[in-house]
Amino acid sequence: MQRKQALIENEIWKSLIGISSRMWKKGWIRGILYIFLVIALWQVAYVSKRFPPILFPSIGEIAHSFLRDLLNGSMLSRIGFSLKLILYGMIISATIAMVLTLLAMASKNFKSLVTSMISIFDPLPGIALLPLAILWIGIGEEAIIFIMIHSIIWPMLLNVIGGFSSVPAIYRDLGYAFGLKRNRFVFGILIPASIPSILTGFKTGWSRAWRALISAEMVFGATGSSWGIGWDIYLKRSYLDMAGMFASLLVIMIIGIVVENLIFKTIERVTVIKWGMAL
Amino acid sequence: MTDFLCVNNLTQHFISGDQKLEAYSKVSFSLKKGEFLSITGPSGCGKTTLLRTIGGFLPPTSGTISIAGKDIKEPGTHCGMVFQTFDQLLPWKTILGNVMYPLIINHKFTNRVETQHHARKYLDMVGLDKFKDYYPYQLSGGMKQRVAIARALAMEPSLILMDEPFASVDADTRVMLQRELKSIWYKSGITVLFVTHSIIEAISLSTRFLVMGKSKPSIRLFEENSIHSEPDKLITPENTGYSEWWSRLSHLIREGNDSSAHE
Repeated sequence: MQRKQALIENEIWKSLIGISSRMWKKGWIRGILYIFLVIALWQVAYVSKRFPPILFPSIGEIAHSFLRDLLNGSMLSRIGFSLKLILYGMIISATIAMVLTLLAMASKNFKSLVTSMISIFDPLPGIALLPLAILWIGIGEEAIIFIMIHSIIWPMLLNVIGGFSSVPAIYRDLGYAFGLKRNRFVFGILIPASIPSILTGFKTGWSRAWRALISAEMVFGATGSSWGIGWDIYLKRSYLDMAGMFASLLVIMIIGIVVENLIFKTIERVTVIKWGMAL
Repeated sequence: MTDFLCVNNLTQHFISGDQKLEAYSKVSFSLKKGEFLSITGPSGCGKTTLLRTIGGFLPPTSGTISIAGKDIKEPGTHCGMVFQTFDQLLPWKTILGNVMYPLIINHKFTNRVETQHHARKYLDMVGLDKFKDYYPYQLSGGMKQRVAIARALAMEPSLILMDEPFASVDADTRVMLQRELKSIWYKSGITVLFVTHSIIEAISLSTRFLVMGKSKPSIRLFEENSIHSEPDKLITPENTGYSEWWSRLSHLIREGNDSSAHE
């Protein structure tokens, strides 16, 4: 009887180990476990009272602020404002990048001019242009968009021009053999063949723009009655609303993760991964 | 029968630094419609360059090419092209999408259903209709080459140019593809220009041989294949005259490899 019991227990343990091992292999489950670990460590640090509570809020206070801002709609309004600006920045930059790339493909001299501009301007952080943006454009959404375009356009151009230039000669030959010319050649061959590089350009552009946006918002503050997440963090600092600040930082992280894992990964899954073209 | 393809005094030079490299010089020949010409010769004799020039991918240094009386200045749908590389399918399109694409952009049919039906007929001809929804990376090298052949044939060009299309496939697949090609060629009545390194492949498939050499004269032989056989079947060593042609072509290719022999 005892032997049978031991055998059952053994099987249960084996099954539990098997389930845990399978779950551990799933990236998202590991991610959630890491988040819980950080939360636990945070709470331990809070309970230990080694840091002044006014500067180091508890997880409960941060969660409370997060839910408060979420439920009263202020958080969605800040997110909407910031995402609207970033969307403008991405659309304008992508359009400029595409036009400049096509011109660069048409003329070697223009390509050399654009690549020189990339090497000059790409290392320049967007935030360094803030004083210039204030003097040239003034304080407002336009200045933030200007900073973002600067942050997005150079890495995007670098990748798109690189992608177009490295389209294998065989695809070009095929395009010519099919009788494709001008814009049909661009849309039928060059753009789809460059999608892996275009996507890399968008991803780099997005991450640079996100950083630039938050920094620029902190400097420019509110435009009219609305403002974004960057200025929200700055305001909460003024009121010493530490829990609120951490809640806003959390929002920035969540948006970053959602865009990277949901939007870009989905685009990759239905394009380059599906086509076997992933870089 | 009048000549279908006329290559007249074609010369191709490339300039590299101060040096002038001659790919081939004063190449002239003509073909009747429906012939199967194998172009062979040693590596570097200009076979692929000649084929690309005939396809309009390279402007010749001098000379003219005409297909069905029309001068060829640029690539287009006047001839189908099958390249040597496996990666000649567009990776962002399915197998069916690859075959349909040139038909769609050239408005070969008035609606999508007809286009699809036509494309599937050619995919079926190369035995790949059941893989129509696959993407190129999911197929083997031999299968990709068959799709490329189906795509070129589906356009129903009067001339098809093939640049060592079976060079990178294993021996069994190669023979199978050769059989398919010969049968398709016979059924469709298409004219084929087929670049190959393999003497066996040239003899098995063609109705005419063109042997090129590295030095002048660029054309060492342009002759009809005199071996009698069933026209839709591969010519094999059992056919009378096979070994004589093998010795002759192999001798000419060896001779053509010696760049100083005729200079």
